[in-house]
Order: sequence, then C-alpha cells, then structure tokens
Amino acid sequence: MKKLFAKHNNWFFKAGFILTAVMVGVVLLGQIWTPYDPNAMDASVKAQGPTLRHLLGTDFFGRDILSRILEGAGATLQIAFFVVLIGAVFGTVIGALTGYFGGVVDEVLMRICDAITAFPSVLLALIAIAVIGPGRLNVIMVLGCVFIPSFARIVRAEFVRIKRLNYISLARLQGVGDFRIMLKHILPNTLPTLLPAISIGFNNAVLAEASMSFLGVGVSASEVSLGRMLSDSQNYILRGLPWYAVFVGLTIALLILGFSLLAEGLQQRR
Amino acid sequence: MNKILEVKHVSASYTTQGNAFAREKVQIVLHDVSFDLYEGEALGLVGESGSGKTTVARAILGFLPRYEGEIIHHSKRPQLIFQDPYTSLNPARTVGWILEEPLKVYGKFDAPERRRRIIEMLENVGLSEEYMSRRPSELSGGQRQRVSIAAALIVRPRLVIADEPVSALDVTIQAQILQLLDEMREKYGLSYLFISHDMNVVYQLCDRVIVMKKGVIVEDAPIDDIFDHPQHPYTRELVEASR
Repeated sequence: MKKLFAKHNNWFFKAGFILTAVMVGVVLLGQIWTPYDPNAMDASVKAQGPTLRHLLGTDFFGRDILSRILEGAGATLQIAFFVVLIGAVFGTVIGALTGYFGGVVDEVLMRICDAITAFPSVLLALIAIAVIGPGRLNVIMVLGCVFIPSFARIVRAEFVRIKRLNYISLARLQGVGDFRIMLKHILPNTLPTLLPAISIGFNNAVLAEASMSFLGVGVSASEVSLGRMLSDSQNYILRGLPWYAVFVGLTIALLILGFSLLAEGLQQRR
Repeated sequence: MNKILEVKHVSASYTTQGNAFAREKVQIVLHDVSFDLYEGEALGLVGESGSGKTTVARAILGFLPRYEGEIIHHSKRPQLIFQDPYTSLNPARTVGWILEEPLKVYGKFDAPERRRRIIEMLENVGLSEEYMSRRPSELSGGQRQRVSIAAALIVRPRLVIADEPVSALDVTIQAQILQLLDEMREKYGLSYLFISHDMNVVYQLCDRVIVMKKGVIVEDAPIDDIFDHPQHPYTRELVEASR
C-alpha cells in the first residue's frame, strides 16, 4: 500500500483513493448500522424532503431514504465486487494462457471475445437475464461473464509484450517452467496495467447494475439496490419530490467518480 | 583440451512473407558455420550487425526454431548475458529474488544455502549483500550488468554466451565488466562465446577470434594472429578500424 502511494503520488490517485475509501467505508458501515431500519414504515413522515430526523428525507411509505441508500449501495457494491472478481480472475487466466502460448486456441478465444465485445455489455446482459430471470446471483453471473473479455484482452496484450523480453528468455534458459514463468515472472509485471483496469471495472460494474435494475431486469423486486431505487424515484419526480432521485443519483455518481479517479491515478505516475 | 561445444555445418535462413508488391524471398542468415569451443577458452565472435553472429548464439541456446546442421553441447545449461542490461532483469522483482529463482528451480538447495550462494555470488561480482533487496530500476547500467552476470553464473554453468555484454556501457564501466568476466573465467573455469562488433573489446578478453561476414565464417584464428597477420580483407578492415 505504501509502495502504491509512493509510485502514484498524484492528485487523481489521492482524491480517488480518499473518495473511494469514504464511500466504501460508509456503505460498509451501513451493513452493520443504519439510522433506521431500511424497511420500517412510518405513516407520520410520508414523502418528506430532508429533515433533521430524516437527513435525506423519506419515501411514500415513510421509510428513511438514507438507510435505504446505505442498504442499496451495499447490494450494488457487493454485485460490483463479485462481477469484477469473476471478470478479472477468468479474464486473467484466459488472457495469460492465450497470450503466452498463442496458436489456434488463442485465435478462437480472441474471436469469441471480439464477438462478445461487439455488443454493448449491458444489452448482452439484458438478453441473458431475460432468458435466465432476474435476481442478484444471476446478475452477478451474467455481468461477470460479460466482463471477462475486456480483462482477457488487456492481460493477453501484456503477456504477448512481456514474453518477448530478455528476462523471460533468461528465465527459460535457467530452466523455469512455463507456468512458473507466467505466474511469477510475467504476472507481477502486468499489475500496473491490471490495477487501473480493475478500478475501471468497478466503475462499469456499478453502472451496469444500476442500468439493469433501473430497467427492471436487475435485482428482484423485493431487493434494494441503487438502480432499483433510481427506478422507483421516477414516480417522486413527477409528484414534485425530486430529493429521492437526486440523492440516489448522487450516490451513484460519487461511487463512480471515486473509482474513475482511482483508475486515472493508477495509470499516471506522479 | 576437451571440447565444450561443437557447431557443425550450421545453416539457417528465413523466408520473407510475399505480398502484392514483393515476391517472397529466402534470406540466408547463416551458411555452413562450423567451429569448436574448448574448455576454458574465450572465443570471440566478431562481425558487423547483420553478419549472423547473434543468430549463431540463438541457435546454440535453442532459441532458433529451425536450422540445418548440428550443435553438440558437452555441458549442461549454457547461460546467456544480454547486451541491454535494462531488459534482462525482471523489473517487478528484487535482485535477491532474481538470483534465487534459478536456485529454487534447480531445487537442490534449502533456503539458508540459497541465501549463502546468492551473497557469495554478489560478492564475486563486486556487489554487497544490501543489493539483495534492491530492484533493477534502482541500479546503474554497470550494476545491472553485474547482477546479470551473477544471475548467469549462479547455476554454475561451464559455458557462458555473452552477446555484446559491454556495448551499452560507458568505456570505464566496460573495462570493469570485462575484467570481472575475466576473473570469473579463472575462478569457475568458464568457457566464453563472446559476441561483439568491437575488436578492442574482444582483444581484452578473448584467446581466439572468429570473424563472420554475411552469415559466413571468413576467419578463425588466435587473437594475436588476427591482429598481427589478418588474412581476410574484412578482418583487416575490422582491425584497422579498431586502431
């Protein structure tokens, strides 16, 4: 961690790190403590704007919006985390194998990746969800698969570049096996490219979940997530209650801004 | 004297890809190259760029996928020292890790023994134990080349191929590295195949010189003969240029 800071001592990295840390910290806090029970209804405070008792106001059922945002953001971040995990792990394995060994398997897998990338990822995920049905786990699996090609492509390019370098030839001469070369000699050198990609991946995953749930094909109706809340909040705008949409939208924007700044900072040195 | 390497009638060529504007061409890079390398000998391989000297090294080390002829090794694990010390060390790893890796792969030494050998080898090449925790980016060109030499020698090879190992360095550093290579040769009884375009550098280290031009060996003689009575006009040219 200390090393990362020394290497990327730039404004983007610092701002992104602080913003992301604060947002993720607050959301994690929301998992153990929220001001009110996110699902508790209170008929006395229906559809209010921000008040001292309810900092971000309440919805039609008198539920505390701050508490619901905390819970919803938790779900969104959880989905984003597993989506990026699936995408990065499988993408790295596929990219490493194809980039290092090349050949027919490389050609075939890369053309499949091309085909997947040719569609907008959310559209592809929408089709898949339409087939297997909504729900948190399905969203994670579908988006995870959709995210694999971008990681595979990045890692593959790095492996193709690095495997030609002299220190890899020397490792081979010293009798280091292929898989050890991939894991211990090449992979650490892909991190400067992989870390920003992971950060941007979080960004895209949050957006993708929000878009899908907004369109009603994300998490199931009984669950809370930022996208679903944004979708619900449309009704409030029409009735002259813009707060709900503003606060949810702001949460999404801040999360994404944090990840984007972090990615930008990781790409720049100093 | 025992032979440590025999190169017999090695020829290599590659075919350039044809396209709409150019017919495909067969480019000969090595033609009937034969020589022996003896134990403890430092053999210089001299020629201008494009003469095929690096291709010879690649063939010997098994990096050349296709060639005709035969290469017989009488030693295990020949090692290589590259010209560019900036690309021959893994930038993500420390010097200690880089030196330990071949020992780990070799698999016969426990951790304290590996550490002892690393420190010994670092001292051999004129670096102290503290360098173990340094990364290549923190080292100068000369220091990097010392680490490269340590990495090549730590598996105790009997044959080391050095491809222009001092060409990227300042003249003063060149002399130090050449002296180090000479010391290591005596200490470990190494044989060198020393590839260079610079007759002066070859003169400082080698016992015998092979001169190559356009993929063909034009002269193969002891170093003093090369300098005193060069036979081939191209050799004469190279010797003249180095004076």
